[in-house]
Amino acid sequence: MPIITVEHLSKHFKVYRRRTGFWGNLSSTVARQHDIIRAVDDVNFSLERGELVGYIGANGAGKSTTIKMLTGILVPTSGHIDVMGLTPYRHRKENTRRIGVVFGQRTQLWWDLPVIDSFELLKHIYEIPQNLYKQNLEFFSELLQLRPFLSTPVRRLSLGQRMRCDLTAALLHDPEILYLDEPTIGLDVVAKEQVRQFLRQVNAERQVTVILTTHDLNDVEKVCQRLIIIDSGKIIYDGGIDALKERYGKTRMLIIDLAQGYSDIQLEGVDLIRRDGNRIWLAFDRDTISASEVITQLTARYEIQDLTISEPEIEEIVRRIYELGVH
Amino acid sequence: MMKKYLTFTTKAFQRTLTYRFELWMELFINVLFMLVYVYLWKALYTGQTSVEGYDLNGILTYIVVSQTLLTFTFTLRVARIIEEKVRTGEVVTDLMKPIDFQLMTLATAAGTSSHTALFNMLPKFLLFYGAFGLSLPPSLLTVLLFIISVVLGYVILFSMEFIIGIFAFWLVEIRGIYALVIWGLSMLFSGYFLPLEFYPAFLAKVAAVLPFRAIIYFPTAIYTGQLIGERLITAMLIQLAWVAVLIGLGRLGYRAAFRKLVIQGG
Ligand SMILES: Nc1ncnc2c1ncn2[C@@H]1O[C@H](COP(=O)(O)OP(=O)(O)OP(=O)(O)O)[C@@H](O)[C@H]1O
Ligand SMILES: [Mg+2]
Repeated sequence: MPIITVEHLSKHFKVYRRRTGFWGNLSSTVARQHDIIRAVDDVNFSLERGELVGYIGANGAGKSTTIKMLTGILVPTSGHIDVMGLTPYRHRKENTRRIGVVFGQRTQLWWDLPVIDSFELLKHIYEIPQNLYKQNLEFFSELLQLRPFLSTPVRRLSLGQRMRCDLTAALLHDPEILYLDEPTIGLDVVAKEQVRQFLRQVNAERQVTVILTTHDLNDVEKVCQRLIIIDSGKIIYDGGIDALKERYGKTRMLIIDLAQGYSDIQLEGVDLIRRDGNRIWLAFDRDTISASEVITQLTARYEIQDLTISEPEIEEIVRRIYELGVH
Repeated sequence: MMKKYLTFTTKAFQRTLTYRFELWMELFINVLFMLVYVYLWKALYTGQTSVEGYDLNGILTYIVVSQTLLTFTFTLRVARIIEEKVRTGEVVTDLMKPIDFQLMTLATAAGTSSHTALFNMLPKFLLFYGAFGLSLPPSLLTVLLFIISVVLGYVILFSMEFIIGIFAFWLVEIRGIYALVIWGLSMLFSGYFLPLEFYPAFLAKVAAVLPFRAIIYFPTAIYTGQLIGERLITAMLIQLAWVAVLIGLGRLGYRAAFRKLVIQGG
């Protein structure tokens, strides 16, 4: 039985238009006009216990909105969410006891208090038994090397230190599910790696189900088994990362430095992805056209200075999906 | 159950210790104001023995006690804290915890204010008590009733600030309402400025239907012995009623605010 089931989930925001000027103000007060933003639009997925899922999508795709609904702090416009048998927004308090949440953009720790005091407050809020609390604190302090700054006020921590503390804070009460909204935002390479390593370990050793959003696809590639891609509120991919590569990785990328800036570039069976001065990025499907055919076409029409060919990284695949959609 | 809220109180109490400078400044300015008031009343009483039942010593005691209690009003930052939480979106993290927002806010405020009471109000009061030979409450029972009344008044003040803070969910700016209620109406009708017995009849009538006098006037008048017997009991019942009404309104307010938040998003 899945631990999370989401069916036909939608969240539409009404955004009221404000008109300027006195009459504009007056008329928009009397007859308020609004636009509807379909932040999440008929989304379906389910997660099994112990899964580690990456939830990705471009800015404004609807990731945070989905997470907020799953955690119960946003009421869906329509559709169903079942999290461990609970409807999050209806059973908000009960749900919060069994989940952990980290928003990379903000901390749940008390700004002025030493880290350890925040943990102690959480101990009381979640009514964590003393020995479990001690055990967990020990475990996470060790794993995330928190000891040197446990008595430092949160406001004096670096972003990386704070994130490690926030991860601990979210896990002290042994939640069954961990929601992470951009947990690696703003972290350096080392800190990012530390967080990834930690998430893998927590997932493997403690059977915590993890769902994380990110813009760094290395997170996904190194941490997640499964990937869900959302675009303009709709799920456009849900499956393994290898399957994604298999399916979309047939695309090859050709980066070419042209001798001059041709105004119009026309080639058959090839997509012009990007252009920056004399450099162009071409994508083609190796099943429909071979690299040598593309190069032959090119050299016949344009003068070329340099050329590299590459197999797409996950980054590139996802960028193409964001830009062009799924084909 | 109560223990989790008490933790907020103790943490807030400890945290206040870290702001020593701010504390000293507030104390210093407040003491200056109290001195000015004391000398003003001394001057006004030259050639008078008793006004509206207060002799000089009585009025000085009233002024010092009420001024000391006023410290709660200008050190309680509940409305501002809620506004800030709404503005930064931090309120969402509170919402995500299995905890009652109103109780948590009260518990935190109580921690800060206990600190204020102990390290600001009490020494200040003792200083004036010693310097001007003020009187003590008539009996030990009065002391006890005074303390209960102070606590009830405090909860009323808290509830008002809480309600004002909740407006931040709808309004961009609550400083206007705050100034009107806390610095305007409260100053006028709470009786910190002078005993309500001194007010012209119509103002006294207005004060009687508003909650503000329950914040400072009631406890102070209990201390000075102006409120005794049946009138004292009535005063405390009025305080209790206001506590119930304002806490209730606060709950309704924040339920509505959270409903708005979970529908419209942060
Ligand atoms: N409270 C709100 N009121 C109105 N519109 C909103 C609200 N919250 C989000 N939106 C809109 O809904 C859409 C999805 O937003 P969301 O925050 O879920 O995106 P996201 O995928 O998390 O993006 P990012 O990667 O930038 O964090 C956006 O167009 C956003 O402007
Ligand atoms: Mg987001």
